[in-house]
Amino acid sequence: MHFTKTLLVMKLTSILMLGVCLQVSARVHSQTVSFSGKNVSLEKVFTAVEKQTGYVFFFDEAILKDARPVTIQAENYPLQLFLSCVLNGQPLKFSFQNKTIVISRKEPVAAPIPPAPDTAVHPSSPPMFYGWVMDMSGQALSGASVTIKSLGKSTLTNGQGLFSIPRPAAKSKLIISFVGYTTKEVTLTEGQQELFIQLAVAVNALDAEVVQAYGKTSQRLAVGNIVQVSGEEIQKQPVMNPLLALNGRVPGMLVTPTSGYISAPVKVEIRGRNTLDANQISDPLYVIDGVPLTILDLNMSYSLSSSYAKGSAGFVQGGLFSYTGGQSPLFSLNPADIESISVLKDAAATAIYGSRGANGVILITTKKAKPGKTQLDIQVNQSISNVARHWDMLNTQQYVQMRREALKNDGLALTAANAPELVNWDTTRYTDWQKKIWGVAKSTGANMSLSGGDRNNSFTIGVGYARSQDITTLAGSNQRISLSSGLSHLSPDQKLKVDLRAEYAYTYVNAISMPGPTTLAPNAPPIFDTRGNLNWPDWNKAGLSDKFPFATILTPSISGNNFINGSLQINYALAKGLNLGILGGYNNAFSTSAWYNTIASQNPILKAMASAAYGTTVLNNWNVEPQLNYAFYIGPGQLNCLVGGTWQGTTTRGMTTLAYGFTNDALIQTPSNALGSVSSGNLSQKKYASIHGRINYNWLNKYILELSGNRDGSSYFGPGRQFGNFWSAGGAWIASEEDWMKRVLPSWWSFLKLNASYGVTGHDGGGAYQYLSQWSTPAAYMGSPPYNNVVPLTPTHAVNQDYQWQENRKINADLTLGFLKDRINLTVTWYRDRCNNQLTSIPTPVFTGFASVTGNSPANVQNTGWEALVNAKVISSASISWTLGFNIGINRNKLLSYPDFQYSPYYLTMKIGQPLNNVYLFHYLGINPQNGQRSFTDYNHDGVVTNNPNIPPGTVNDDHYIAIDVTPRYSGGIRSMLTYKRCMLTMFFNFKKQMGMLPYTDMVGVMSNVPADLFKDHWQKPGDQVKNPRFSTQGSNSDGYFGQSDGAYTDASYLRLSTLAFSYSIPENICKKAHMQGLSLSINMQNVFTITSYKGVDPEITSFGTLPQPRVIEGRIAFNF
Amino acid sequence: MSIHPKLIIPAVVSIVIGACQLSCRKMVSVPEPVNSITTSEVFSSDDQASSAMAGIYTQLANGSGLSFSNGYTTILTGMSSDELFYYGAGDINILAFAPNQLLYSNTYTNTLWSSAYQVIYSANSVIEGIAASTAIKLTDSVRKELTAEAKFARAFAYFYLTNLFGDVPLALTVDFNKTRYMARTPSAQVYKQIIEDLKEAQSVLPPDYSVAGPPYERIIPNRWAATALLARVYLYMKDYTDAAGQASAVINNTSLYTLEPDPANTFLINSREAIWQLKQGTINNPSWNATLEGYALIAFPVSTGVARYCLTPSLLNAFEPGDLRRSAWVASTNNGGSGTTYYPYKYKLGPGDAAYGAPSSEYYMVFRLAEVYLIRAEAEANGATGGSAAAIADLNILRSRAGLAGLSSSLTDAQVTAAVAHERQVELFAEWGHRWMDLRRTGQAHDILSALTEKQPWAGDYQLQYPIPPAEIRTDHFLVQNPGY
Repeated sequence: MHFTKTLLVMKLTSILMLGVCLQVSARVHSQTVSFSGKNVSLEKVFTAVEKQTGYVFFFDEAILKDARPVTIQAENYPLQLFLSCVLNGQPLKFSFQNKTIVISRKEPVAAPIPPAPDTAVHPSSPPMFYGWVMDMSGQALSGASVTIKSLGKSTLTNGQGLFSIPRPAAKSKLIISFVGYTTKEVTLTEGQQELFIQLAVAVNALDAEVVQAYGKTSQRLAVGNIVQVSGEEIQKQPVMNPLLALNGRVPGMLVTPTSGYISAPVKVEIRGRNTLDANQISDPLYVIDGVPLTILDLNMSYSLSSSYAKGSAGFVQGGLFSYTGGQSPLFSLNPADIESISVLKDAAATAIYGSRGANGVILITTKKAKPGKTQLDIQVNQSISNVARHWDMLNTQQYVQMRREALKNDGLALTAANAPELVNWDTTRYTDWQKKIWGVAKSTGANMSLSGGDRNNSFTIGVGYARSQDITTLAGSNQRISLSSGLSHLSPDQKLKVDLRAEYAYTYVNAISMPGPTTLAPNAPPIFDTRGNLNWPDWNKAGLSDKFPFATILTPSISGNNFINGSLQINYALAKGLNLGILGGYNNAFSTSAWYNTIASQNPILKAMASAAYGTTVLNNWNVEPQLNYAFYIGPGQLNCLVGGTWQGTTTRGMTTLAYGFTNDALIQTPSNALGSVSSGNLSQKKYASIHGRINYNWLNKYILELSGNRDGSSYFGPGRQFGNFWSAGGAWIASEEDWMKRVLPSWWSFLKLNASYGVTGHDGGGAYQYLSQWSTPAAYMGSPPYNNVVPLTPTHAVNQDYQWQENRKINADLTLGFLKDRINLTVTWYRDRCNNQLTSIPTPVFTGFASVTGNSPANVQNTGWEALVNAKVISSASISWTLGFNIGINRNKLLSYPDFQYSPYYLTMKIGQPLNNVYLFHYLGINPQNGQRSFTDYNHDGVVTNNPNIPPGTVNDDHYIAIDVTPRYSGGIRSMLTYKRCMLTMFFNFKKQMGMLPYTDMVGVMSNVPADLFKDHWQKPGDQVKNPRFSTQGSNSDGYFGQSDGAYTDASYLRLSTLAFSYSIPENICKKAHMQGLSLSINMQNVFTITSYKGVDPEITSFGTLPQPRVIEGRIAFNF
Repeated sequence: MSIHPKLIIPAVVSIVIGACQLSCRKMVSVPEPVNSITTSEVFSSDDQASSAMAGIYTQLANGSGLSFSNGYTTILTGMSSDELFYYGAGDINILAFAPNQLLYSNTYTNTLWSSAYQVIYSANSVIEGIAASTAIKLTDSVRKELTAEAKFARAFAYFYLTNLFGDVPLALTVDFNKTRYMARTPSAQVYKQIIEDLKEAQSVLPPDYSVAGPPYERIIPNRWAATALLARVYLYMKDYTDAAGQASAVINNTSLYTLEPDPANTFLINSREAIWQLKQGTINNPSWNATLEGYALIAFPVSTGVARYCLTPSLLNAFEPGDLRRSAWVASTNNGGSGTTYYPYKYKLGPGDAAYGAPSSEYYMVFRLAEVYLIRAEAEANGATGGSAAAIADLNILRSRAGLAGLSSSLTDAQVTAAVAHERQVELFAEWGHRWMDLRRTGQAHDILSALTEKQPWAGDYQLQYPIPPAEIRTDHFLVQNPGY
């Protein structure tokens, strides 16, 4: 330490010095200080600072006599803040002289202010007021706005959270706000010259942070329609695929599992069906931490294909066969790693994604590093799942009676040929096949996360393992091990921000198929014989070997998948409000699949050999996104400009190998043991580049105007057609900010906002290289062999170079209301999406070369609808709180126009003005009392009920005149969260109003069990006025027509308690004893009960006998240390 | 960390310049596909271009199952005419042929149509691909040869299309914008194109089988294949002088073509009678080393299995006693004990004998000398040089090979014409739809077919033309369905 008797006479006030220092701090001081102590002498503090920063103190020892010891707890405080805190209330001030900190006595009266030393910054500054805005943890908030209420003038904080304004008059009010934080209003005291303020994270629905495209917003300020579901809400549900946790949570978004298999693809559709093309999937664009997860569907021959109805096969593009129908890509994402999921629906929210945003965008944000004490969270869960409902089927006695009566009605004697199961099998044996085949499945999971670090460097690491059985409990399981990590760095001068996130997951799915347990004869013999082999002998004996249903138990389909997703985001604050950022992202999925047709599964009398199919799928996505953000004030309005670019590359490669002729099941895992094998492969590639911009002008949080534009190019299009322009314009009016409106609105009405947008997004589906004329050697199997020893080449598809973007024009209008200080919020939305110039596969006459060509179809499809979203804090007090949420979405879809429709390929299946998902049906009249057969309306009175598939339904002699739309009329959810002291009870209901097909529409009387209610009240003799048809083994047209009639459709609406979660946190004092910070116990249930008039097991999966969604009951313990 | 502000502007400028260097177009260009090559690559060398032509031949010979060029023309028109009937219960689409009760939505006529147009599209691709190619590795001689082969293939497919369906859209390009909406082209115009293509093929294609390379199998069409088809086309157009002229050109080439003395050897690989044969693949082909037609026609086992497509009594009765063709080319089966039926046995390799990957003894015969004799005979009978006497002489060549006595030289013109028709019926039965097309072009179809008991009630003469597939009409509203359907 250096002491001197000389005091430097400084005329500056300490505050001014601080201000000046802050202005130049980027260059001079880039140091932070951590120091904690109680009643420490200033000298000790200074010593510590010198050690940490390399600065030296310069002061007169004498003046320290007047100083009091200080008590401070500071972690990574910027030096100037630290010094301000230490000297707060002391008669001392500090100033910087290069690397020296000068401590001097405060002048009793502030002297007139001379020009600041650094005149470049403020040439002739008026007296300035300085402030620093941070969050509750002391992290600087860069870009927060500070408004002097009386003047209506505003400024923004710089990269270090600092601002300076001409010193306002005393008692001025400052409003400090930042997206995602609760706005604070501060009244300045007399002579106040500085301000340190901390903002709290907003917890109310209106102001909470919402992730939007390339940024953040809140419901209060959003111009587009965005619904965010929090990670917390997702994690309360015991599901392995986070997509399933969104079911019913977002109005206007339908989430449909394609089967009860846990890893199965999940079909997601936002605001209705856009495309006529039955091969085009409805999935939105998924973006994980800024990295798009694009899968190019290969639709290879001898592989799974993707379609509108089934969704994308996902990670299983190569490979012949998968019981699960592929694998949902998001099955590889651990729900425990998710911070939030945002669903972007309208043009304002999605136009910046240009040609990729037509079906909406889902932004998934994973948990990021949180500074603070290192914290370890461990969570372990165990669950069981079973079928929630069983079919009420015939028992053996009824079944036998049905069969006998059927044969009698047909005038047939019971023989081994027409009733083998009655003749050859024990007719007293009874098995409840559903219970036998769908068992109680067990699941286990554990998640651990570790996070911590300081303000500059923080990290998070998560590890998860989950193992879930499908309810086909004889075999099969789904496993996932996942690792996620996040690293954040903030440079000491707070200008550079680096954020690295990575997720890795390995999944292993072993699935078997079980026969539909419902149609099996109840007296059928056991699955396995006494030696544990499949019971072929009993079926062979009955001459039913071709009907043996259990072979698939021993023919598993297995897929293993590695998925990695990583993103690196670097931001640099160039100047106040000006940020330069770049994001680089990569994801890769490597998946191998196999299907083994084992010898053990095959009929032993055939001496069969085993065969296998192997598949690999490799998916790569990378993207680079440079971006420049500039925020500043023009007048009282804040202007946010964003200019950026995206460059994305995607490849998907698939390979399938079929191998046959294995002589031993043990050798089946590699094709080298096979007698022969054939392979086919495909690679699809895509590049996408765009330049986008967004301008948002916010006038005092009252009027907001947002324009976004996007020029992008995709390799899916031919030369000269690769580039397209997309744009949107939107505005919001927060009427409740108007003074006159405040007078008009009653006091309980706290918020009123109207926002609307219009814009064009696009879609570049259709597949790679469709513009390129391609030749290939036809697939090896059944294909074209060489001719005269020359390997042949044939054109592979029709070439059209002229196809262009599909255009989706979207209008959206939201009305948001807040009541009782925003405790109740309501958003009502109206939208209209029109999809024109559709990019589809257009059927063409074969003399063009092929039966279809990729091109733009003139079809115009419209989806309009209403959505409502309500959030209410019913009770909010210290010990008890209760929040309720409700959402509903209503969509109406129709084919608006189609020039020359009668010549279109859709003429026979669709109608103009009608929904795309209409089915056209006969009208069912009931049972004909004379013959016990089902009867239908002869619509055209020509004497016969006719099914003519060659003309539009309901015209000429065709009698399918009833139209039923099979998409839900409306759907939504109800959420309730009740917290009382340490207990929390969460309930989530979802509901759908829809028509569904009856579970069983086939014949009654053949060798197939039927639902019990078909047995009741069935026709027995002429004159019977009954509900159900006669029993018969010989079908007539009327039996076949039933499934095409409105009699087969019924109300399949339901209200389901889909989640019920109860948790209890152990009191802290008990935790402390166990050296824990927290411990909570919870019970979570999924698919608890369903209220429906539908007769099936699951109104959501209506096909008879397929795997229903299980009911899951999970117990969970979570600790943190 | 800190960045000096002076560095920022140069950095931004260099990033912008860098981005401009990487032109936007390059940013969205992808490498070419891995499992296919582009048209320009195909026509960049002799070998690749030959592969494209091999694609057409393998399509013709194997396709992806039965098509117009490997069996269905024989089988389906055989049933439509008076040669074959379907034995057993099949789907209604196949059962509709023998009684001439085709619905417009028939799936088999659809296959005929599609498979012929696929060949035409491929041929157009080759013709246009070669024309557009500037590659020096694609030599002039190969360009000419392949273009001629492709034009021959196109003419060949159009010949069957127009004879089965009437007026058909004449697509001569792969540009889908030009072919997407086409009306049906009058048959006369289609024929004009066929003749133009064949004449070019005839002038370019070599007079031998050198293109196929050793052992010079007759599996690549040469000048004489084009000539034979041209002769047939002229005959169909009733241009008898030209028909006879073209036919004579083939017949006179005795160093290449002579009738096999034993009819049983006619359809074998080394048949001296063959002008063009299609060589089926022996692996990755559903019929292995058998012809697809033989595989479809022959019962398995040969004399006790079920034969689906059986010869009609009227055809069996048409054979004169002692006709060697009856014994060499017809087989019978007891259909597993449910009654004897007869079926075409021109090809001998069927499901019972086919072997995976083994060399074959027979190829699918497209043009053979016997037909050329018959063309000349008919032309002469109708006024071509030589007249009836020459016609009888030609017929007698075939009759003598069949072990039958020669016709008297004193027949009247009408008798000669009838003799030609009869000889065509028994020589060319169950072969490429000759019977069906003969009945149609000579105007006898109504009289002969409507009188047959198995075709009662006669559905109407509209059945003499196959229906245009409805999907085609739905996608191209300029197409008009054949009347009656």
